[in-house]
Amino acid sequence: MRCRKVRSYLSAYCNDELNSSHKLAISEHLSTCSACRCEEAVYRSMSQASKELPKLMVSSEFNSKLLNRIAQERFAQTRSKAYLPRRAPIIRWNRAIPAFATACLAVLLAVVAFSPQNENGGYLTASTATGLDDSYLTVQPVSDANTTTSLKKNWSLSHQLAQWERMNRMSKVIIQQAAWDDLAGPYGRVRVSPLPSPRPVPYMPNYYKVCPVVQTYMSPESPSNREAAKAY
Amino acid sequence: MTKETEKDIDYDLIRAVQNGDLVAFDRLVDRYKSRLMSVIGRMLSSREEAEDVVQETFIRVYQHRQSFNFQHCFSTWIYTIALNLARNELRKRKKFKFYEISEMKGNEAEFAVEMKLPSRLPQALNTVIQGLPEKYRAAFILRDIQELPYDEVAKVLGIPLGTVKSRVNRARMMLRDKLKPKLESYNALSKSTLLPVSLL
Repeated sequence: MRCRKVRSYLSAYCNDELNSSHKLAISEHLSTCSACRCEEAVYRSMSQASKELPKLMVSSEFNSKLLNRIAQERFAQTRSKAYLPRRAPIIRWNRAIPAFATACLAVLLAVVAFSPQNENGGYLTASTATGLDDSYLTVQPVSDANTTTSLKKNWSLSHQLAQWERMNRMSKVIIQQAAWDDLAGPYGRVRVSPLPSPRPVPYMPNYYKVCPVVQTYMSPESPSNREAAKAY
Repeated sequence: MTKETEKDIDYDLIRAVQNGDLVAFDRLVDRYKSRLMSVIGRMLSSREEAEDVVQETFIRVYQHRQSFNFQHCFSTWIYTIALNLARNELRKRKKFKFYEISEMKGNEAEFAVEMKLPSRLPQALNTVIQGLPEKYRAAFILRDIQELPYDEVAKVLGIPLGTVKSRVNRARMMLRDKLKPKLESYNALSKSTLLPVSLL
């Protein structure tokens, strides 16, 4: 073996880290080469010195300091997990109110937008949809400002509808009574059997989706009443 | 004490620590504090910083005691933690400097005295070790000073076995380059003179 190769293995040779064949080859070279023997002496001194290096020791309070730190850490962990109360949920009103208002507005717009409408822009009723003659449901706008105001003041849909129905029935009864009176003449008032009660009109929210205006009350002296009497 | 016996003792102690036994943890500290100080004290130049790193190592061991895998060696695990902390400390301080012995200003006289006296050679070696690059220094300390087997050094450093052998060999050659002039003169002097070696 050449000196260069031997010197690359010398540190391992001095630390007994080579296999037997390598060890034998190097020892044979060392027996003939003094320069490599000097190198071997240096490596052996270094190996011996590394075993005799001064031991570095920790301070005497090392254990107590360490255990104190661990105790502090355990206390901090226990405290954070067990003793701190759970956080109450925080409601951010500055975000909740606008979101709620937006949601309400969206619902309102959806209700208005998706309500069915007829050609004139008024609301569709079941009658116009099915083609039945429900002319008594035809309403006309009230021209009297006072009536309009009073109507709007005490207006509720179901109340007005019920009132309108009653007045309608009463007007029919009065017309008939007036007709019978004319017929009866000197024989007195003829008892008129009451008209059969009309079929109750079921309350259908879409059906009555109108702005009801109370039909004008038909008094016995009204011109339309006299004309009806004449027809009979 | 055989290697297997030491391993078993470590396993028993760490198992007790996992169950909350602080006395077992104290015993574990006593077993490893000197070994860790011997490694970390030579990686870092300051003794106080080395002690802080060793303390931090044991705290990390305690914090992660439940995550220890019994398929691995406890000594490998604790050395790995300690070296990683030491590397972090070195990076923070950036105090690593690879310098030649001839560049040591102000310490030349002391170093010369150390080199001449045979009993001072370990101290001289200690000084020269501080000048090695970090990766060679760690491999040399674990192999030649702590006398860990090559495969354990490879696990601690997280590098292949061949790389460990290469780094250890390279570190020895660097130290030899630094120490050779003085050692040769010492050897020549010790052979030629009749005076007792201790007086040189």
